[in-house]
Amino acid sequence: MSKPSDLVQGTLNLLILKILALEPQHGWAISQRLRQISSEVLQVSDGSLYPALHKLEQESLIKADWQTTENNRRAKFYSLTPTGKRALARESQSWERLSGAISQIVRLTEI
Amino acid sequence: MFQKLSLRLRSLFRSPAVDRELDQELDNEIRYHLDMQTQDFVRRGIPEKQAAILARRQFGNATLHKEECRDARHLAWLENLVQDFRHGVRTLRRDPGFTIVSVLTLALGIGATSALFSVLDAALLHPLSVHESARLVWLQEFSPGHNESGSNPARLADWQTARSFSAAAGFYSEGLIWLSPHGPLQLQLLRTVGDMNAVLQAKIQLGRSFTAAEIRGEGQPVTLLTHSAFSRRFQSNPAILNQILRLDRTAYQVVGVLSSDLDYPEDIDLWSPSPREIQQTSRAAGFLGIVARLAPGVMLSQAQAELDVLSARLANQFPATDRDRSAALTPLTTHVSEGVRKPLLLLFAAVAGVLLVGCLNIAGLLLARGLARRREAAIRVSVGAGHARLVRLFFAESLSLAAAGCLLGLLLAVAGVAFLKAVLPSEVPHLAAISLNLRVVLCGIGLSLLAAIVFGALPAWQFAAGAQNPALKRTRQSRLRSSLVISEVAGSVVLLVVAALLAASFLKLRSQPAGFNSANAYTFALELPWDTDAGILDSAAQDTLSRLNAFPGVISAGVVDRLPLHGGSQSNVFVVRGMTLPSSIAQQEFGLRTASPGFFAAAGIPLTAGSLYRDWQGSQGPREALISQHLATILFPNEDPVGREIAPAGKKEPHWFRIVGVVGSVASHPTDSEPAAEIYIPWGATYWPLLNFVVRTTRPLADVSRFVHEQIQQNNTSQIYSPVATLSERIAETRSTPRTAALLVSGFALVALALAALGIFGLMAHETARRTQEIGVRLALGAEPESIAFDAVWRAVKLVAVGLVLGLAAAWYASVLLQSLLFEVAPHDAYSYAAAAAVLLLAAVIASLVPALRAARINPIQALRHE
Repeated sequence: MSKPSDLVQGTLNLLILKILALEPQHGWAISQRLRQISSEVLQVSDGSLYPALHKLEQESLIKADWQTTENNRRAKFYSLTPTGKRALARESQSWERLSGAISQIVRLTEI
Repeated sequence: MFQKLSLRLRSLFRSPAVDRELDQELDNEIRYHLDMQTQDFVRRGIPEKQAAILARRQFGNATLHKEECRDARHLAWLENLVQDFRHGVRTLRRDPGFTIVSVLTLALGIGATSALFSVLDAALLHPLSVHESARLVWLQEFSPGHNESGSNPARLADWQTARSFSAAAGFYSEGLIWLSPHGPLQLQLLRTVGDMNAVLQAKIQLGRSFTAAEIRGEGQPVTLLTHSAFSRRFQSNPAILNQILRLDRTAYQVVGVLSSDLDYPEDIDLWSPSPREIQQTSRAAGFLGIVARLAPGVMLSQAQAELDVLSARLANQFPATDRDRSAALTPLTTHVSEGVRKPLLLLFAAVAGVLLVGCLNIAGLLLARGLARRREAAIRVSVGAGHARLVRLFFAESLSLAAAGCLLGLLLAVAGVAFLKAVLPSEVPHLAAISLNLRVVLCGIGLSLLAAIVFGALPAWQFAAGAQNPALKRTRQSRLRSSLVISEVAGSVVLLVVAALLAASFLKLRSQPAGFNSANAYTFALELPWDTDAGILDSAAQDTLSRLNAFPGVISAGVVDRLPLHGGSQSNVFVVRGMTLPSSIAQQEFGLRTASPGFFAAAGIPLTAGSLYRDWQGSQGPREALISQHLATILFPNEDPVGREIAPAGKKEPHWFRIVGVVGSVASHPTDSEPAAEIYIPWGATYWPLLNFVVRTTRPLADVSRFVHEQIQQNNTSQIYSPVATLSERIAETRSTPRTAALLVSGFALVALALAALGIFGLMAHETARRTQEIGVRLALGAEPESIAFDAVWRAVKLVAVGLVLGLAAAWYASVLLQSLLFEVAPHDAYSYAAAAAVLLLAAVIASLVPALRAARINPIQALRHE
């Protein structure tokens, strides 16, 4: 069982928000996108995507509705709420600051 | 944030059907994911069967993820908590005896505490709703010999020069008659000297405040209505502004209405500046109360230091009137509740004691219950309940108990407040306005929470301790229960001792020789304004007395300035013609009362030597006086006082009064055992507009009432007579504080005693049950049932004895605080302690008797098969 650690969980949320910012998606498509972007970095099972989605939905950062797909099946589509958009902006900013700071430190030790 | 919480809370109360539907959706969503993934693999050339397996593998543990999704949906901990509470309520319902006793005990404690706290809150914590009331001070003057005395306008003017005050003003009150459209009404008028508004900084709701000239008493008389009079007497009609209000013989122009948030001084209908001639009274007078506002940044001690310097300067400047006089400042908030502070705090301590004993009792019951539930706890642990969950379960139970107790307690508090309002003496500030406010409710809830935490911790701790050595546990818990009972006993003993002391004090107070006979005596009063002509006063007294004397069945009727025990009207230092008094007596103040000759027979005060004085005639009269027996022994220990001449000291030309007789001494003060040393002079010899009529008759109260109403009041509509009361009633008023305190504390002590007895009963019943087998063996071996019963009672008595000793020791220390509330009873009065101990021992024996008799009746055969 690979339960994502807190750090990964945090980044997972950020990635989900980022993906949904482009367009509404259903679960499987999100997992495909995740795999594409970061297949080798984020070692998470597909299933752990769903608790994260449901949590984000509870927190009103994303909302979900059932729609019919192109191959005529009903799927649950997730999309970003206004709160989610704000959260994404905030989170990515702080992520950039943090990652910037960390890479600076990493570079320092290398010298 | 709020939205999030509400969403989750909503999920908490979602019906199971909705929940099932959501689970179904989740399944659909996951199935869709797996299908899509499988299709994806198939598209990449993997056989369908394998693709499905691969997709599932890639998905991970589906059940776990679903569970996590559900957790995300629900606020798991809150859900568990609700479940715990449901469980708690269910277990409590299964044991109604325990639940009812605990909830009632808790409700009683919390109800009584909250009710008293609401009184405390109104009377002591928030006694004044005046702007920055903490800056207000009460200025009390003291005459030589440190007797409290009133001030006068001349001295007020001196106090106003103090730099420590931003403002100072004086006041006194008068009852005035207003011929309202609905008949004559008595209004309470506050006479102000100086700018009262500058001191209290009261807002004006309507109209204006007094002008500087009006404050000096110049020009047409003006008045400000208080908010309560404005709404009650004038139906809040603003048309009253600038109208003329005729009070007695004077016309006042209404210039304004004070705002509703002013509540000092209490029970006043209107304000009016004191007339000019009264503002010019001499420095010898004493009728003003003084309040002042401290200047910004000035501390009370600094202001007091300035007053001391000022007093010394005034003593030099005006030696005739100001020598040896002093003044002391107290915060006004303290001053208004001074008389009731100690009794109220005492009552609160007593009621808190009851709550404590009640809590100890519930704790004992919970412990006993915990023992019985050992097996339940063990099963819960074995099927996987964590310790934390089990502890939470106990807390949920105690919280449910506390919630029920709190709710019922607050309901009881509502009744309690109504009860307290009825029984507490009217000196309690804001008595009428006392109610259960938010602060009181929060206090009640806080107390319940505290109780819940303590009760919950106990079984939890018991459980944790029990996880170790079970044998050790049993003795330890039995010891714990015993110590709870000991504390209960100790707590109730303290309360019983205090109750016994207060009761003894009250009985002493009531049985102190009054010096007068209140049986068959009735009284009513007529209060006239301070500027009433002496002639009018005189005719009011004469007219009323002659009508009373003409009433069939009247034995005697008289008028006096103040009723016995209601304090003297005036007091003074006296000189005796041709006699040099020892300096200790020469400086002592004695009471001066004015009374008509008929008063003595009406009040049943005996004449012990000489004869009564004659009636005062008009503006002149025979300058004759009577002295009380006690004064006779002080002034004339070895000679006959009759024929001696006596006069108030301090005048250049003494007004001599010849002593014509000696009358019995009456009790002087409700809490003073010394009889009054007093001089009586004829009614009319000094000016005093408060007439207290006393009438002795064989007729019942209703007859006297009707007579006063129909024959006296109807013929005199410009004056209002107070309702007729028995003299005993009016005398009892002076003792209402000690009586109420004694009654309430005794009530609380009895509740605590009952709780302690319940605790003893519970413990002994449990002991008997535990020892059934042992007792069976003893009986089988030939022990007498009586000795078994005696043994059980003896065990209880031994336990109680420990609590008794602790309680008596605590009472020994605590009762010293009571000293000032006790009359002629020492705080270490042996009888009170013995009585408390005896009552408690008796209760203990009775409480342990039932289990003891049960023990004696145990059937040995059955007992041996027990367990």
